[in-house]
Amino acid sequence: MGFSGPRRMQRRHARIAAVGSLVVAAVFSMQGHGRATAAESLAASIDRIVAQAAVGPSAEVASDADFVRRIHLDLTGVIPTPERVQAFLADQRSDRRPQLIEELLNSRAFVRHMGLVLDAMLLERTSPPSGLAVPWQAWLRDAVANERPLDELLGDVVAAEGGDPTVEPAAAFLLARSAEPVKMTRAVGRILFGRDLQCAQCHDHPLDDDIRQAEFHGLHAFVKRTSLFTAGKAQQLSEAAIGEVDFTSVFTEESVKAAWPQLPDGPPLIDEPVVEPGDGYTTTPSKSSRGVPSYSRRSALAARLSESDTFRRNLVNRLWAVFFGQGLVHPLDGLGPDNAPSHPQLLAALVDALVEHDYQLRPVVRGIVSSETYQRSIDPPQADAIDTASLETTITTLKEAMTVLTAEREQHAEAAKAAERRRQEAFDRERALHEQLQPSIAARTETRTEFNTAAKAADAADAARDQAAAVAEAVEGALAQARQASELLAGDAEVTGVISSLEKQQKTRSDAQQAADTAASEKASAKTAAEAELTAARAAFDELASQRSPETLAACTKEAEQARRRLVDCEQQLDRISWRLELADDMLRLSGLREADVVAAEQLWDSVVTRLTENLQVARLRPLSSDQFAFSLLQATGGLARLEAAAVAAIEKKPPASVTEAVDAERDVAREKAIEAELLKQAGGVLGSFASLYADPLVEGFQATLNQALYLGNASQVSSELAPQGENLAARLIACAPAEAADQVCLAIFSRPASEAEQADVAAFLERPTEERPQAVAELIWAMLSSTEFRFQH
Amino acid sequence: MSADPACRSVEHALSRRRLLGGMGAGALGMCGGLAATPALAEAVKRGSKRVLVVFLHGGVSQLESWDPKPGTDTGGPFRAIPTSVPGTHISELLPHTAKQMHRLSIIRSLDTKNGDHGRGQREMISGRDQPAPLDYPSLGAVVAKTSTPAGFSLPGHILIRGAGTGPGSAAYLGPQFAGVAMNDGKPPEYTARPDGLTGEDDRRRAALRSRFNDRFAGRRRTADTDAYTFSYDQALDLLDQREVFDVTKESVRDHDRYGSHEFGQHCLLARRLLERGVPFVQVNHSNYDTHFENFDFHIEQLGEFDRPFATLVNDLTERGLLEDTLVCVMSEFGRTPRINDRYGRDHWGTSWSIVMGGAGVQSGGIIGRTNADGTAVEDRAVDHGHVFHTILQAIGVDSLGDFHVAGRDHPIADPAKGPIDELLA
Repeated sequence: MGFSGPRRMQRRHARIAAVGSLVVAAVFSMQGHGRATAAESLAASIDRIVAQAAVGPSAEVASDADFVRRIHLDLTGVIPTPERVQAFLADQRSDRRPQLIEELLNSRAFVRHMGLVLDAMLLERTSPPSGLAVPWQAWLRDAVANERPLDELLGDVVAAEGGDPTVEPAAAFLLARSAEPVKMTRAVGRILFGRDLQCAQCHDHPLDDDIRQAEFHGLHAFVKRTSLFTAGKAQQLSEAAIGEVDFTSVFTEESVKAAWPQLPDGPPLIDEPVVEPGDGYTTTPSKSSRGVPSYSRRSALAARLSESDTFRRNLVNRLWAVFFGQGLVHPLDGLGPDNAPSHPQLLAALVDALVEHDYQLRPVVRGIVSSETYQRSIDPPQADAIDTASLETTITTLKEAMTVLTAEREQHAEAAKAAERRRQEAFDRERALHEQLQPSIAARTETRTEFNTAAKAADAADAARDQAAAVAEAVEGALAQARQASELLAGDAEVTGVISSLEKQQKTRSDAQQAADTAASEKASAKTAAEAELTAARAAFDELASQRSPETLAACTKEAEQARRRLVDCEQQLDRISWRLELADDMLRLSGLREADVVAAEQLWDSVVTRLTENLQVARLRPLSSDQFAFSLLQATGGLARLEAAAVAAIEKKPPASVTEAVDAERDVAREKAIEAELLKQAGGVLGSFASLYADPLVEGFQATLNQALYLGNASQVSSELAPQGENLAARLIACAPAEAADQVCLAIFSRPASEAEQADVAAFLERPTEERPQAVAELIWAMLSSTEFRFQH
Repeated sequence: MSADPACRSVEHALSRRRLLGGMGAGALGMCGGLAATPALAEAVKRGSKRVLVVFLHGGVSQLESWDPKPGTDTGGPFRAIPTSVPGTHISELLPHTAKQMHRLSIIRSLDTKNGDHGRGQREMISGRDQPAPLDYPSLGAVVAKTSTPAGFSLPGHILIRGAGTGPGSAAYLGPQFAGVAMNDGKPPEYTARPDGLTGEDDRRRAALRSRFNDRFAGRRRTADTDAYTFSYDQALDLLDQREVFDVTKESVRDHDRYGSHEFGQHCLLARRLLERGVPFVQVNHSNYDTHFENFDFHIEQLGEFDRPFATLVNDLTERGLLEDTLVCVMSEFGRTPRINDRYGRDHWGTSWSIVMGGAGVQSGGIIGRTNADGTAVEDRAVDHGHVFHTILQAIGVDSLGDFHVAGRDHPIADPAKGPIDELLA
């Protein structure tokens, strides 16, 4: 493999980009910290990769008005207040965008929004057990606030011991799947590795040879020992120290016994500790207590997450989707060789940035939203902006790249095949050893059982011996005292009788003691013998087990994965080049077609715009998430300000223990957290309604439903916000001069000033008798809230 | 690439055709995302047929209904009576239904291998093996997605219930197709305008909304934006037809025929909805879980079921609706042939029956057979998967095809199963 693979080429580019970023950093005059520079380099990498992949014209950078709305929605989950919009539009500084990004990244709303984003990503609207949702969300917010590395956070959700979930809310991830092994496996596969393995549950996926049954059961083995434990009303997790996954393919009828735990792209865990009878638990599971094993397979999974390239790729793909409405790989659980990312190099660059920043959220987010790619407009370029000459150059370059990659593909395929062969050999060797080990594991189990029995018998014999000795001693003592009494009483007949009876007892008891002594020493030697057998069985196991080589298997697996990755990268790049060539050809056809067939040209242009969007040259018009929509509706109408004030008042009036018990600076932090939790509680009803009505666009695609429209049109949760209350939008509009209404309402709802046409429209609409003004204002606000401009991120 | 190119191109072509045609009230389908759209209707195979499911919650006894075994140890005290199909007998507890049997067929060979209520409900209503809840769309969601007529503005999937499980999940098909509940027969949520908002006000604000939308469409217009604007037009239409949810608008005579009790009212409401073209209506009837006093309870429950159900089948026929409406009476499972010491019957998924009729299925037929005492299926064992395929095929849906949703393919029905061919006309 003495050639430069795509990843290596990409790293070289990254170094070049890093030099360029120093200039960029100087231009944007960031805070001067190293991390800002690094973030600029991610933004620069994104723009460079997207520019290299661009075909034909791209959209302009979005206007300040579009940007201020977009960045607020994406970083804080809510549209900006009218004051913020006006301030930003009046800002003349050249670095106003990076300044705003920095401000929002450090805001309380960022913590709230990212907490909700992570919640939706991890639970996908499945419900954790009652009472757990609030601590779980607070736990996620804490993680965001404290910049907890995401691999640690996700490690926690799979490793959570699950005793008291209110103390350890991370358990919600598995509890929301009822700790049911197949559901947990599917959730881990989809959400942590981007792999939907549902079909692989029964058989190798018939359409995608990479979704292997073994992959499903490799993950299944990690969670198979976990189950739901019910303590009173509380649901907890319990984990056993034993329990294996056996499966049979319905197609090949091949069966596997005791599948090894294995990450989708990692080596199998071939040297887990052997559990002997009587061992394996910190807390043994029973009816009254949940099991806590001394070796937890879920902890083993957590510890390995960040070793997996699939895990990292999934993570950045899901983060990307939060800011672009679609993953580089789509759907988000469709990560696999047959489903190329739109920009394979970009996915790799994001992974590099994530690792470089130690899995921290903000640096990656900063890099993404600072890019021009993120800041592009939704307005497509004009069809006549297509420059034939430059397109032809693009086509030539793409064709050259295709020739090079096609040649490389063969080499990659050869290398991948060879590496896979070595991995298979190493795997087969370990499987064979594993089979050989089974009798010695059985022997360990058997001798340990015997030892346990012998040890128990020895203990019992010891106790019997001690008991016999004590009795003998007591009799001895009584006899001595009786003799003493006899001397003093000068041979009293009764006492003499007692002595003779005691002397008989003494004889019997001493015989019994001797017998118990003998029995105890026999049992002790039996125990020693059993121990020796156990030691021998362990030694026999160890000797055979020492022939295993997890390092070799791990190394071969890694090599095979890397070789496969290079091949897949190459193939996916070829796939994308073909896709881009087709796009370029269609653009070239456009000018001719426009004269021949206007309708066909229109159709083709529409398809070109769709593809330019996918190629990141035009921003996607994407629906708001249910949380963004709900919060924005409340912000626009003034309901959010009311809820915030109510939350502050509630905490002032009755500060929770977390606040009163905190000291100094910690008190402010605790207070902020309490207010945030209170605000979410106050907004909970509206958030819940929106969540149940609006699909998650990242999971289910965009959905416009009758129920949503009925809700927005008729629900009291909405109509109550349209009526004047305090200084809300309705009250302000009723009070203001008709000429000012358009600007006020547009700033509040659309986050921009009104156009001239809108001024006229609004004035005309409000031209009704004064007593009808509140009704007219409610209708006006509603018409804007229900418009496409408000519903979509643009 | 991830997106299915065929899907994309169909959608795209439609969007353009519609835009150029300048159609007013139409809407666009996304790739697999939207159903109630005139444009997509041309591209996806769909008929204008409907489905009515009557779900007898708790598990009706097959021996006291569709597969009586009088005179055997397991048969219980009731007689079998002749029906309108010569040679076919059902339990004497169903005298009115007996006269409608030439319009229905019985499947007497269900073997669903399960005796758990939750699992049985999930499996019968989703047609999939679901020992653990894996979340497949329910029949109602599938029918709403595949069979909602063009421009239809009522919900496509309605569940009328007094008790029993809640509205069916649409799973990956999305909330557009999730069941809309009419709890105790009351109208669905949010179908009444807020106080003080007249129809005229509503239309005025809608007109203003359109002006904002038209202006924004000048910047960017996509299938999503069109689907979104259409959903509000659909809501306005629905409010104009709100009477459809009001069963009191039916005649006094019909109320008498169906009965004033809950199930009678719900059957009459189901007729009303089916007449207005709602693609999927489910009526729940509770509760058949008769571990004690099975026979007394079945006299009572089936006594309530029999007349309204028979009246409904008769009315659907007379109004010409049955030929386009698939009717199915199902449960989560049947009941044990063995009678327990409390005169009850327990859960039984090994050999039980359901009834189907209308739309494209054979009438007057009997599929499968149980043995003499009803403890095992002797011929033509089928389960929820086959029933699901059959219902869909009967209404003209290719149940062997896939849904394309958000870039992914999902088989419409369990790919390991198929329809009961001899039942399909």
